Amino acid sequence: MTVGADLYCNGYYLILNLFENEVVTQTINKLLLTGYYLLNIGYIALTLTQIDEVETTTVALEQLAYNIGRILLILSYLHFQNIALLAWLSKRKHILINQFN
Amino acid sequence: MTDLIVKTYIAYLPVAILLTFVVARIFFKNSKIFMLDIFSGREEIAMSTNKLFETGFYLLSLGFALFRMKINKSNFITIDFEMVEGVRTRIETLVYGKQELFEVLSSKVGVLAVVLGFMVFFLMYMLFRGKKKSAEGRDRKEELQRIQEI
Repeated sequence: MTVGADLYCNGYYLILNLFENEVVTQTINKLLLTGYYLLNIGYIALTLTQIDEVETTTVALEQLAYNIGRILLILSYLHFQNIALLAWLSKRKHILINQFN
Repeated sequence: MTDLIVKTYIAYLPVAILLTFVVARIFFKNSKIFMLDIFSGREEIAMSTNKLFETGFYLLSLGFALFRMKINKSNFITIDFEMVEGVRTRIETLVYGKQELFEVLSSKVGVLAVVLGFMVFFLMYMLFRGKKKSAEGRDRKEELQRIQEI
């Protein structure tokens, strides 16, 4: 059943669009987005090889939910890490500006 | 038999997604005010931070809901011993009805609800902490200004 494989690919690209950043510089944003794409494509490539026998609808649903859930968890982890990094950076910036003035 | 499991999945998915969306909408509609207070009225940053957290919340909760969707079928296995050609053999059969699946479904939805509750309370704690910190920062700034004026 290759339908499962197709479904994955469609599911993932929707997630990618959600990423927005408050960083003013566009380049960093672009880099992050590229990293996002790479991560997703790599994940798809990895999981596609894992699924070999999808016999029934039950197994298909289970596999689909499991794999999408896993990538969502990974992405959420990275997302919160990113927010933490941004918060830390903005705090640093504040301190630096205070020191130099 | 497998049809019932598929039906359970089909019942579980909308419930989980709806639960996530309702919780997220209620929480992040009300957290805007806190964000505005934390970032002392700078609306852009407050809104974008709110949006970032909302995205993270959706990712985390939907990911968790999907990750935990699979029903563990080993709970339904019943073991029988039968004599086949004079040898006592072990036969495992899957036995489950609507009751078992309903129980599993409710336990899954319940765990999801509890996890969402914990997440919301954790985010509330973060909001209150941020509010306190930003208030402290403001006080310190005012104090510094007063000292410089003297």
